[in-house]
Amino acid sequence: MNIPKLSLHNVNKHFTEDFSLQDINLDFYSGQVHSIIGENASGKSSIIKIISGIFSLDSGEMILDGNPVLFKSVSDARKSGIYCVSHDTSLFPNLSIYENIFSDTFSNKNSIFSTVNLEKLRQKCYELFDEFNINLNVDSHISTLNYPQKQLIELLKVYVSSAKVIILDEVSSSFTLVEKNTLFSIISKLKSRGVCIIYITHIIEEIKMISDQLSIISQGKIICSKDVINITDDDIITLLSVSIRKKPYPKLNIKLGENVLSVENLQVQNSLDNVSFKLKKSEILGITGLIDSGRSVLGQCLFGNINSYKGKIVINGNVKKITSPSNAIESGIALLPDYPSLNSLFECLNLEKNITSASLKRFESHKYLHEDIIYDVTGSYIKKLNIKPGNQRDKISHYSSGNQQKVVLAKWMMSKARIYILNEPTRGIDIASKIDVYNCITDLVRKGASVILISSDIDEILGMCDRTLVLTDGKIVAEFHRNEATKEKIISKAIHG
Amino acid sequence: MFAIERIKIIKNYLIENKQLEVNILSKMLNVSEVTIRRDLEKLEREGFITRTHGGAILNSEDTISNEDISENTNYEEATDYNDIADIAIEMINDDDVIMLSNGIINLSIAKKLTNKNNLTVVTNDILIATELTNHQIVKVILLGGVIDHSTKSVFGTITIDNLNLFYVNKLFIEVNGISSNLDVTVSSINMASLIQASIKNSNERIVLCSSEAFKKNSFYKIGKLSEITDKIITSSNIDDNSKTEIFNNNIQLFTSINAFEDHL
Repeated sequence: MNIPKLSLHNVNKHFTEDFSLQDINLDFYSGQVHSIIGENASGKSSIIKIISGIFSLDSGEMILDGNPVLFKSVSDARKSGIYCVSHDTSLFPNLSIYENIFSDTFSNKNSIFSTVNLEKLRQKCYELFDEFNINLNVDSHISTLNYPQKQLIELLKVYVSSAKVIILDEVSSSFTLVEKNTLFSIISKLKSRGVCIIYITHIIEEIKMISDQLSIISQGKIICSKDVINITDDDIITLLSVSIRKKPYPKLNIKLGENVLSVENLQVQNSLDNVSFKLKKSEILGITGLIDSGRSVLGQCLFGNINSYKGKIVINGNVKKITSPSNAIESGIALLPDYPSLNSLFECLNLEKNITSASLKRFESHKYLHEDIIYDVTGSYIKKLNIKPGNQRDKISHYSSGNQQKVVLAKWMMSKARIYILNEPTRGIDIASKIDVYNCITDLVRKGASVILISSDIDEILGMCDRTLVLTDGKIVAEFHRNEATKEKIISKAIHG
Repeated sequence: MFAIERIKIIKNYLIENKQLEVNILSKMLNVSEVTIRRDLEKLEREGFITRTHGGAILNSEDTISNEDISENTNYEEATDYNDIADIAIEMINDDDVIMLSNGIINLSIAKKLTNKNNLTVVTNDILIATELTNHQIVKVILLGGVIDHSTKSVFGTITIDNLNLFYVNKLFIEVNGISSNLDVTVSSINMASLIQASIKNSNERIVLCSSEAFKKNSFYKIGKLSEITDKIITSSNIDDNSKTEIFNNNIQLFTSINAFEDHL
């Protein structure tokens, strides 16, 4: 107990001007669960990536069993018994469940010619399923499973491995109660085997239930590290709410107008439950919540990507059936999705073609596009939004994420959309681009457009929004006006519902 | 889209195509046909085109001189000041008592104060005061003092004594330079002491400057930006390092991105 299995001593890692890990000191003990909690982008994943060998450290050291170690790769970390299960599964979709569970043990054989006794593994897999009451066919292919089931298989895979340290990164986020119980019994068996578990989560109840130690991280620094029995829920929320930035957000107090959008009893199976809200002209409405709270689904639904929704969407007083993005665009709705490079840009096309892709009708006359006017108008947007380097023939895939984000914004602004749904518009982009995005939002609402800002950055929500809705499990659990919203209230609602 | 930009685009279009139709241009530039016709009238006065029924034809090439280009850069500056003033206007409410320090951006603000009610403006800039005499609803207080001919404003101990009679709830400070570590500077010692005095007599302060200010330092220091204000309005093309530095100092940075073309 007194000697930690794994320690981080004064670990520093610089990422961007905005974010770095600073003086991280953590001790992890065998046979104990150490939970790490923090806002999105607080540095949880970065710590994990350092432990599991994906990132190297700038300074400080990592000590395993009393000896300093330096991992150059994930396989280095694995050789030392450190395994990680994260939201991205790494299973073989075309192999069966039992083959996947035992796939890591194959390589332990001394010779490549030794055969694998598949039947024996299959048998072992049955026993494993019995042990944890799992009702799945061991011969099914991974590709036939849903996401929580895949996560479960990942868990079993580390369970049968020879891991000494296991990192579980938000594994429970997609789990129902049944799967969570399986997860907890796996964790308790691992604990009794003396495995050291590092558990990352957003959910306070889980921490209280399973962990021995808790560390809270905020903006790249560990702000608290304690035994769980010495800490209350309220302490956790207070510590999570510590904000280092005041409010450098360019927010103007614009007079709000009439309702432009009313959402009534919106229902999407498994994601949204009876969601109703209104959006006014010139308003910035914040929507926040945990990863699976339904906040992204809401954006997708209003943009017509989910056509099986129930409920009413009313735009400027008219009920609209929005079952495709083209319906949404006709109604003046624009969506800036999370990961724009995957979901909203034409990677193979150049800057100009991307920016004008939603506005071609405007430049058409007699079946002919006026290239020189397109060039001038696009140039004006590129200049105003500081899109760099900004040569109109540049291929968009070579641009930084901040610039790509601005390209998507420019595209919708040019098309004269009136309701902008921005999903995590500033995640992972540089500060200068962030400021441009915020000022674009200000430009839009100043001229009468309306913005729905979906974000997990609570400081940003507090800084930019007139009103904020908190989603938990697909339901709106709270609404805060600008003058009454605090980080503490929002986090508490997002976590407890 | 701003008029200056539109005229530039129309000029380029004419140079390429030699002629244009009003209805096509109105659709592509997202403005009414009346607006395009007005632009064409302006270009006709400049001798650039001859208007026809429903359109215009370019005059001979040699009428396009270097003059047009140099004119454009002045226009761009004016547009920039105007865009900055547009943001500033949103921060001014009815019944406010504000001070506008001397300068061209503050003059642009003064020109836009027409739709505010019961406003009181204190200024040391004679041009601003003169401009405001056009709006009878605005109460104007022109400070006294020694006239500086180059800025057409008053400075000196008389001005500061005058200033100390008032307390304003918003002070708009136009500055000339901001260094890389955010020291705010102006071009004369009189101006520096006036601004320092006015800061003491104000509730909220907003710093205004064009992006040029970030490229040069003036000689007379007012103080650190973060000690003076928590709001700054500047052009959208300021450099990335300055943006980052301002944000990291917890200062609200408004840039005059004037991109959205609709005014709903």
